[in-house]
Amino acid sequence: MNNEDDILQYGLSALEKGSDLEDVLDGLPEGSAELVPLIQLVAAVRGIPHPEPLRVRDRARKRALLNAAGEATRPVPPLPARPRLSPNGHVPQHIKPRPAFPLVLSAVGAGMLALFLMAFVAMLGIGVWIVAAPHNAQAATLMDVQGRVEVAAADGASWRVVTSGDKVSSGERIRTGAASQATLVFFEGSRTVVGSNADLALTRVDGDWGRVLRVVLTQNAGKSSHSVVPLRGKSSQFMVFTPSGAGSVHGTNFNVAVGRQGASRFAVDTGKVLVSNQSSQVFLAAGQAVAVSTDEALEDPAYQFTLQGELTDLQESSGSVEGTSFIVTAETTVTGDPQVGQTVRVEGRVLESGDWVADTIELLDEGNFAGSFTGILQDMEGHEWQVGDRTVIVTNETEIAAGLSVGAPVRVTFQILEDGISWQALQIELLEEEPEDPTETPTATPDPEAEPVLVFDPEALEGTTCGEDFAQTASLVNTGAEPDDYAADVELGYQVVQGAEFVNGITLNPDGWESIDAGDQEIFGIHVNLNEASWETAPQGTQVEVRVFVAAERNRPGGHDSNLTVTVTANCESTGTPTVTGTPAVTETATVTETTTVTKTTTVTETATVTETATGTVTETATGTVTETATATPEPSETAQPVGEEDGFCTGANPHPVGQSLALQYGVPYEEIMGWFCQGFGFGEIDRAYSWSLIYNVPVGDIFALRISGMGWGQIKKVLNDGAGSSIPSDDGNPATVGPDSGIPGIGGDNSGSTSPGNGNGNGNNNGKGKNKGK
Amino acid sequence: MIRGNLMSLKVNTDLIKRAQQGDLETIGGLYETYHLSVYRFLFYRVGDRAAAEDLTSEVFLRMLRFISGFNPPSASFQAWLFQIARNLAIDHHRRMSVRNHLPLEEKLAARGEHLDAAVERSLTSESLQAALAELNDEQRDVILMRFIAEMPIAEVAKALHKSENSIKGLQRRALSALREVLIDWEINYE
Repeated sequence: MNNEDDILQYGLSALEKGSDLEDVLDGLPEGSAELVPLIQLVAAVRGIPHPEPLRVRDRARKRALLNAAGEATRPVPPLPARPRLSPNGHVPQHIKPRPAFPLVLSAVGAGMLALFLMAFVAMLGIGVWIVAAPHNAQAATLMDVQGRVEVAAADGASWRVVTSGDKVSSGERIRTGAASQATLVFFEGSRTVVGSNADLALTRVDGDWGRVLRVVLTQNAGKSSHSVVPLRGKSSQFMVFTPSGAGSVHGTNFNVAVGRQGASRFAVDTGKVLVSNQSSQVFLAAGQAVAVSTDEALEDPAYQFTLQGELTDLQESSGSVEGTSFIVTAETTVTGDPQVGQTVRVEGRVLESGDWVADTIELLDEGNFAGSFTGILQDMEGHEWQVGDRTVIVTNETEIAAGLSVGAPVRVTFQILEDGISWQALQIELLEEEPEDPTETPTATPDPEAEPVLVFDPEALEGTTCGEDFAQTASLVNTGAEPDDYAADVELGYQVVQGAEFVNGITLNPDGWESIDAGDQEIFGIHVNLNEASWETAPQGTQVEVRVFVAAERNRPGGHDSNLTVTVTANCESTGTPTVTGTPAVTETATVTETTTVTKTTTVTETATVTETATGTVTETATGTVTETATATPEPSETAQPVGEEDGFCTGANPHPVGQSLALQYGVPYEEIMGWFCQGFGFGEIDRAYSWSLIYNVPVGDIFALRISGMGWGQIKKVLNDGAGSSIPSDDGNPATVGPDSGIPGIGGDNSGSTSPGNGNGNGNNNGKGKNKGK
Repeated sequence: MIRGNLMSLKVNTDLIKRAQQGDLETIGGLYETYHLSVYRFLFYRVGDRAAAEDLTSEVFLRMLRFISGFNPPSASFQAWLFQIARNLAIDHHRRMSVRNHLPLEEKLAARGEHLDAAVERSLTSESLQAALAELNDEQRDVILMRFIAEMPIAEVAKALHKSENSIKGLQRRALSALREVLIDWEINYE
């Protein structure tokens, strides 16, 4: 034993093995007097009664745990009946890769909410909703395979021909040839029909018991139709990405078509779909459609039409099917080089002007005329009903849904009468505008007195990583002016705006709150789980952009516009062929005042390599892997440049090179940096504040506010350290691993955050505990 | 002195595999073995019995959730479990700090008032908790893991991602810091 640490451990080991304190102290080598009070202290700590949990609650917790484990062995539930429809938009999902025998909380989300509910329910002697994933949840089964259908791994390197009954696993791609199609059936009954000449990647297929389904599809070409069973649980998700946008649903039937240059069309039959691209987002109700291009804001949703029959005209800007005209635009996708006289299928949108605009024109082998369109029922008197601006003839043969009324959205299936002009309605269906989700709790009534304003703080998070995980924290603040302006039943949602092909999943934790009082700030975590294989080979600069928004809030539904944009940039060395992932993200920075940038990998998969030496003879190297996410701590840039502090002036060089450097370093607007500078902060202070903001997850504005209040940087550091409990930055603003690993003698004690100035070497104090055991 | 049945179950690879396969008896055994030490660790970490109980539940639920990814024998189960507990405690502390973000001086003042009223000048679990709160996270964790959870040096090293020598040094400095606090507060621990 050659130092105090080893001698102390020697004494403590003896104490732990049951030796008497006095014997242990007597056994210390000479010169160890300063260690005596420490060993005495350990003996005292070990000797006091320590708290124990209440037995009744302890039993309840164990019962809940075993219930949770027991639920995992439940048999596969039967497939659900034909879907009912859910109006809910997108909700967050859990993102952990599904292990071989996972035991997953599913019903009430992760974190404390689940915990409280679990304990409560368990104490009541009621079962808990803790379930595990079915074995077949990570693949879809192929049905109704027609023509040539092939499947390959995500990289598309090797394609295999598949037939009905084959499985397509999460991460694989499916493509269809001409006049071919296939149906993917997911484990809980949802279906996706992949049309001809389509290319679709099953970016993620996952699920849990209880019809919790998480599907992320990336459609590169062709058409697909989706019939989604009402999903249970907040972690459920069904999303389809295209090169130009994305749609997410929570129980609905909808169609996606990808056309030329990646433009796409989303059309909803029933239910509701949230469609987004880099610029904006819209909700599509039943019967509505929207065309999506990469770089243009989405148009308002429009009703839709379908025409199938003989092509009677096709010009550059117009066409007709059996005399029914439509407009052709530069965005119209035409497949198969159709000629007049051939059979085609035209899908398009009914604009407010009444124009029918074709989105797709597809050549078919053959087929009789079939036409349908959607719209609002305007008039239902007599035999001539008006739907939208179209008049249809209703006869005794018309199949009319019950419950129709003026103002209802309907779908009309029609045929053209012999006069070539009149349309006879064959069927008029009522579109389910707001179908109920049987699994959701009835919504409470909004409080008209409450006017909460929910704002994300910060509104932008940026970072780079080469790993498969990117984790950060942000907050949602209720800035309501009055004390009564509480927010209720708050639910977060997200959209992957860019780089969906790299995303396995997103977790927001928590993803909702029962209530947020005016002035309160709720912290939540964001975890972007990236596809390790594709992300690590992505070209440097490849970005994934996720937009987090308030998906639901009871008292001001739809009234919360604040978004949080999370941008993750790849910084791996590219080893594969560069792939185009879309235009650079449009980061919403107009009102951003707090931007946090992570410029070094933040990973939640912590790997510890420990060299363990037992009795001086055995060396064991162990690697522990922890897949916990809760406290991933962002680290600031390694490349933080020391910036000399400047006197407060607001002009100087324009742009100021140091300001530019800091803006680049922290990924914030140059104006933001100079804004602080013009308030009198030196560049060194700004650098320090942004660095600490990253380390402690505290808005940089709060740090400056402390400084403005008169606190010194040392005091601020103490406040932050006390509040955040993370590593303490060194004076240059970079993170310093404090304590013994720092290699800096005395740092650990000095940075303890304790008010005690001692270094632990004291002895012979006035209370008589400093027993000198020198021999 | 009341002692829990710490380490009553020898955790080995087979045991973990059984837990990963959902064996209820094994899972129950893991809970029985570790819940008390986890609870105590969390109590001293967060300073609130109810919160510690809730967090203890969460630790084991997360254990259940992620144990399939645990990889014996290359990893230490106990260290892994306490990493979960530690992360949850940090999160809890962060949430509480954000909600009640007081300047350090005010916090200390508030804590001082509390101590004057509640601490009886002898080492109790309450006074120990208050004193530990004055240490930094690593110092607090090493004391809790070593002397409350009774984890060996090697396990603590794994849980805190440090070398054993680092933990030994940290242990000594943590005890010294704790002792200084107790002396300052005139709390007798003999």
